Amino acid sequence: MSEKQQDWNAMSDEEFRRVVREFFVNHYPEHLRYSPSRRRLSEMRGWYDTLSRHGWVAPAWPAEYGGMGLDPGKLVIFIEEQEAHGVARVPDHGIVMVGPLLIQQGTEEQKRRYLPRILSGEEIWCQGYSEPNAGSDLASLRTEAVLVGDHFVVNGQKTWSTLAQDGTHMFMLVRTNKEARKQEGISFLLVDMKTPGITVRPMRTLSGHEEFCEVFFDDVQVPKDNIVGEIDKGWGVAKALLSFERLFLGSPKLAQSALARLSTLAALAGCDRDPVFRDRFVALQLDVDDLNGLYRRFTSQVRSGERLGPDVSILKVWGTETFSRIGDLIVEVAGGAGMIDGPSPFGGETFDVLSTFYNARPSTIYGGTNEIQRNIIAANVLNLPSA
Amino acid sequence: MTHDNETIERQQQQQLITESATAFARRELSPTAVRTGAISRTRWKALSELGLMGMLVPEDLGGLGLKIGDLAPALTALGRPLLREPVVPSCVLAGSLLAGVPSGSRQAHLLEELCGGSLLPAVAWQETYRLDAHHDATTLVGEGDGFLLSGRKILVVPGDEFDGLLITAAMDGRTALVWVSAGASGLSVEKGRAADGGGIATLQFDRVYVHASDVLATDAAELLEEALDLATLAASAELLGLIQGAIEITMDYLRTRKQFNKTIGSFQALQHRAADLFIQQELSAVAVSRAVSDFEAAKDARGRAIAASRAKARLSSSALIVTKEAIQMHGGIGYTDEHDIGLYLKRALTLSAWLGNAAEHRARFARLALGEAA
Repeated sequence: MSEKQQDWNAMSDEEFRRVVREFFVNHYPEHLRYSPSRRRLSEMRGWYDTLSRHGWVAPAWPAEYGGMGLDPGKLVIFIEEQEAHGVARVPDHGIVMVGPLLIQQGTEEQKRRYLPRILSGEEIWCQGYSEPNAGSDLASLRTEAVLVGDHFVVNGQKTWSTLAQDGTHMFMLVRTNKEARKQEGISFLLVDMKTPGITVRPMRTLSGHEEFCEVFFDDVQVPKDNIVGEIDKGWGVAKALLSFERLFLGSPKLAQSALARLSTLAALAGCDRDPVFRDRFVALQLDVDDLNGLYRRFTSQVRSGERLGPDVSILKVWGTETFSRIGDLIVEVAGGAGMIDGPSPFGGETFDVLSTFYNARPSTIYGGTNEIQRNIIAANVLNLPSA
Repeated sequence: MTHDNETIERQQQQQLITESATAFARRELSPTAVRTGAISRTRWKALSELGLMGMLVPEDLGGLGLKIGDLAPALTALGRPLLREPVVPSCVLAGSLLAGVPSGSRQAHLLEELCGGSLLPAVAWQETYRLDAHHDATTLVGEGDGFLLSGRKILVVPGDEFDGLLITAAMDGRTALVWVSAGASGLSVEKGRAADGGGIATLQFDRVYVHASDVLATDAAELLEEALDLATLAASAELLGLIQGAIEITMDYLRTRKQFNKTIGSFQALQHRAADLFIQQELSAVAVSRAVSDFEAAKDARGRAIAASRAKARLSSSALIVTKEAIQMHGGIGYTDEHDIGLYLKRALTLSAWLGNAAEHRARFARLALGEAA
């Protein structure tokens, strides 16, 4: 219990880093280190429980809501140590998205009802935004929710729900007003996945994982109180999350761990001293370093309570495209092993050459494609005229 | 005049071959057929009826005696809808090795079966992931009337779906080439999967007995280099087809997918990138056709090696550029296993890395063409 009341920010950075490192070394399961792809809940459950027991589930939430309340500097140290130790992500939509959103915009009842169960891991959240015909053009979404008495009746289909097969709850965008202009008739709903009428169908990805799902809604009844913000005003709620998501998706984590993998492979393949390789490695390392710098700039903006502007889109573009370039170089350095599916032997070790390359593919697509991010930068940051 | 007539005749012949390969591809191949994973022996036989297996085999050995310039356009046509059957590894590479060894009854028999489509051989030459490394740790030593083969080969295509193996092994400081049937005692096959879902194997030879008649050559180092160069160029020609196929599917998508009440192909940003893909395609086409004519005109093995590396350096790179961009343009649906475009990316990964990726071939080009200091 003592750790839960700890004022982490009062510690020196060195001391905090030491404590975090020790925590991961002592508690994180060895066999889950440096996971090349997303882990399912069943694999991460034990770790989630450990984090929960120590009050470490939500490093970024304020302490009053059960988070660690880390300031930006400490949060960066936390993430760095997490990365250095190869700690995989738990299913974290609740921790990273729903929690901060409810803290900002939820009712007291919603905070009381949902936040503790995210911290305990009792409830796992998934996202319901995209639809087959509303991807980049998210505002054209058609899944509708009609208010009948105390309930919304939801009908339609969502897609690209990450690990929805493990979710107990979904936060979703629905159309509540068909008369209003596109963005104006959308509401933000919280839905219990056990509600009758919901069907989840996992989709296989290129890399052979079932990381995303289609979710079908057939006359699904959702209590009226499960709306976040006002009816028909869900776009604004989602936008707050989207800029948060762009910050999250622009996190240097992906690129940093990919760079570490590249470095490991170069040593295994014996090209780490090769001058051509070193030139390209350092170029990527500096790309990641400056991504880190950008990221810190935006996170401190968030910590100081400032709203993120449209310029946060640069993070997602640079972060995911750097990640993608690292994935390319991993494949290149691997030579003939670049044609092998799954782990390849390298000396006494094994290395999965294609996992970073495959993970890089959706990264430039999800969370708003990089094309949409560039549109946002052009239109809303640079104020360029529309066609 | 005669020269001109020959040229015209050859062009007509190439056109005929290309047309029949294109018709075959339309009739018999599709990305969906690739999904099943396994090689179809029926299709392998049908490919032989197309004349593909014996195309490069000299006429006196039962082949058609044609050149890479005649085969390359056919491979491009077959690569366009994606090809599961290992035409380049098992027919171009294995066939040219067999055609190049000293004449013998074993050679004649294997070539006859290969040209007839009843034999599916695999070539096992590689021992490390690097093209420029030594691949000579597998050894062949005399034992009574025959020989014993020991060692390990990797990245053997097509996995365990072969009838027999052409294996290179060091003997008395030279490179021997031997034939070993599938199921030989002392041969163990560890099957893996290539990125495109095809088979790929690691072979272990534990004192495999080789009959004297199955030692096809005792000094095959140059033959191997030449055969690899030919296969490298052939793989580039197949990659060209893959690029064309991926671009065709992607342009169809840009013409039909609607977002923001518009066809996404009407967005200028995407139009520019589509134009860039077309540039990659045309660069690739010219790289293959230049390499093919350089290869045919080359005076020596070095000239042919330079031509092969030029093509593979370009095509290994452009195939990945194009298929990655194709996925991006498809958006989420492109990342699912359900859409065919992903199969193109996986095939591009496989063929780009096989026989040396773009970086390896650029390095080789530098060594051979620029005379890089060792």
